[in-house]
Amino acid sequence: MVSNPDLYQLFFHTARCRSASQAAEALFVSPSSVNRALKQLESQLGLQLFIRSSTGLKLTAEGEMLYQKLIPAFEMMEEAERSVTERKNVSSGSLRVAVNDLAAEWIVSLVRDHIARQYPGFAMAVSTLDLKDMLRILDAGYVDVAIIFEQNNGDYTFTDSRIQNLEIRRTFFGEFQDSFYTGPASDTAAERTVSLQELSALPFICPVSPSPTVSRYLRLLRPQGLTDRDFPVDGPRHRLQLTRMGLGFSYFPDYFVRQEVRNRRISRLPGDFPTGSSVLYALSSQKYSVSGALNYFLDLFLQPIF
Amino acid sequence: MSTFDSLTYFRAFYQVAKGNSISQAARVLEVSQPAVSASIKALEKQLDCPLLIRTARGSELTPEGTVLFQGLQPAFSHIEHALAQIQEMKELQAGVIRIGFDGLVSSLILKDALAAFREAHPGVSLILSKIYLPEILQDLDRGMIDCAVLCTIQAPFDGHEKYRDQIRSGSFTAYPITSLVDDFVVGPKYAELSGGYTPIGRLAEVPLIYPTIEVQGSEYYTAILSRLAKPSSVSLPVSGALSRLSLVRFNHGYTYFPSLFLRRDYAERKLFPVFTDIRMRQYDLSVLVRSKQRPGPALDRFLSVLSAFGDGSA
Repeated sequence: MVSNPDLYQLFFHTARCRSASQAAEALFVSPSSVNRALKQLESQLGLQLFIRSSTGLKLTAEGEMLYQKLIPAFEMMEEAERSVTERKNVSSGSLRVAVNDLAAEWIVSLVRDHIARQYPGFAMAVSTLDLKDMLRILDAGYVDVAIIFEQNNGDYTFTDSRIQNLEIRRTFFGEFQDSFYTGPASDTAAERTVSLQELSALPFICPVSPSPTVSRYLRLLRPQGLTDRDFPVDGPRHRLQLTRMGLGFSYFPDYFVRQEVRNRRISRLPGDFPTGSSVLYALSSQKYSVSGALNYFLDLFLQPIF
Repeated sequence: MSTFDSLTYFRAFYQVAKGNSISQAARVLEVSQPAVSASIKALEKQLDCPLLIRTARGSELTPEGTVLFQGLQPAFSHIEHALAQIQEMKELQAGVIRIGFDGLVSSLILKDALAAFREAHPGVSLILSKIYLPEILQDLDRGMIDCAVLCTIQAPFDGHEKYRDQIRSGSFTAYPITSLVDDFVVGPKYAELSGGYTPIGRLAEVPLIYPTIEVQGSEYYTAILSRLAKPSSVSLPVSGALSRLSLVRFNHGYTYFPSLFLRRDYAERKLFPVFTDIRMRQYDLSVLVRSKQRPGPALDRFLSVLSAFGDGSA
């Protein structure tokens, strides 16, 4: 094995441009040091790699063979360098994220907290947008990505043909089932199935703003409307806090509160009543180049970080 | 002569070729027929080739004229499209407003104003971002948002003076929306504290429900109240204004909140104001825009909707 891998780098670049002086220029070294290195490599291998003539350098058959075998190796190194530098862009990267409602904002905030622990320099601006404005704003490039969380009724708000016409790409993250949750259970109490009647007797911690999900649960639990014991709050983050305080029950997508359950801050109320599910996906415009920051961000949704 | 000096000639030629008629082109361009003919002749001379053949039925394009027309068509339709879009924006059929707001109180005043604006102008997209001071001022200055809705606490209650100085010295114009003042509020169980004057010591026997994150000087109340609080009263940090008010409604404690947003709860007797000897915080709600730039039609309209909401209709 050749003692110094740098020699291969000098050889590779010289062979690629068929010129020691051009290789020297590209690698920011002097032409004489390139020539010295090539001679050193030839003597260590005991082979002649180049034929030096007045018109320039020509590879010998052995030189050509070495060059061809080195190409994939150098391509791998360049690729490795690229993916690492992409990460460097992430650490100081920035991303403009649009969300459609408080639930999507909450999920994005969980991802943002995760990113902040890894890359404190990552800047993320989150804005709220009406669904009707979403495609236009993505297309115009005001935001880099939209995260949409909506009730799963077998159909997306945005049909495939509509988003394809605008060159918008959809990244689907999954379908998430709701359950009802209440405050932390005492260690001894086993998870017990509750009836809809029992559940309806507890105060319901619900969002104030109307949404298809809320109305469905209200129809299920309170056919006659909110009782004066129910807690209307701003969004899922706040529902979670009041649920932790044991003030009643609320609904959450199981996947996003796994950590809360594991840490015994809330507990699930299994029952034989129907709960809904939601879909989570991202939309981004293909008209603009995809940054390392965006790739990293989208990847996180597919990782088990919750 | 550069291409752009010939723009008048191109326009004349484009209109003639499009309508196959010099008289029609003259009408569209609002010039005389001889002026259109002169433009075409000048263009033919400049390009040194015939573009139109005058026939009995009107004008026909030469092969060179056809090439020029085909080249001009997409260019002019782009221009026409852009002009139509600008017209739409002027008529508020389209447009984007990027709105920054600095937190809870601003978002409450925005909520009703946005609903009214959206209903009146569904074509205008609104991008809403919560950005705290001082970043919101930087974002406004850099043009990342078009306006900033700010709630600044008046002197002497906290250190918002430094932001006020920044606002004054910066290149912003502030439109005042309204001034607000806090009330202490309790739920029905403690309704007897409401009405006349209540010594703060009595209120302090009730648990205080205070915001977990408060960017705007919560120390003001907590400093006074912590000196008074009885060991029996527990303070509860809660995130979200509505959560705080919900907890108060269910008699878990008392909190403080701008009275402007509580009128309905008072009327429905869900919440009750408590008047004490503590001076309550006062805030100014205002919207800032960049001074150097005249607001576009959509933003202009939005500013007037927003200020109408401060004038007592809220």
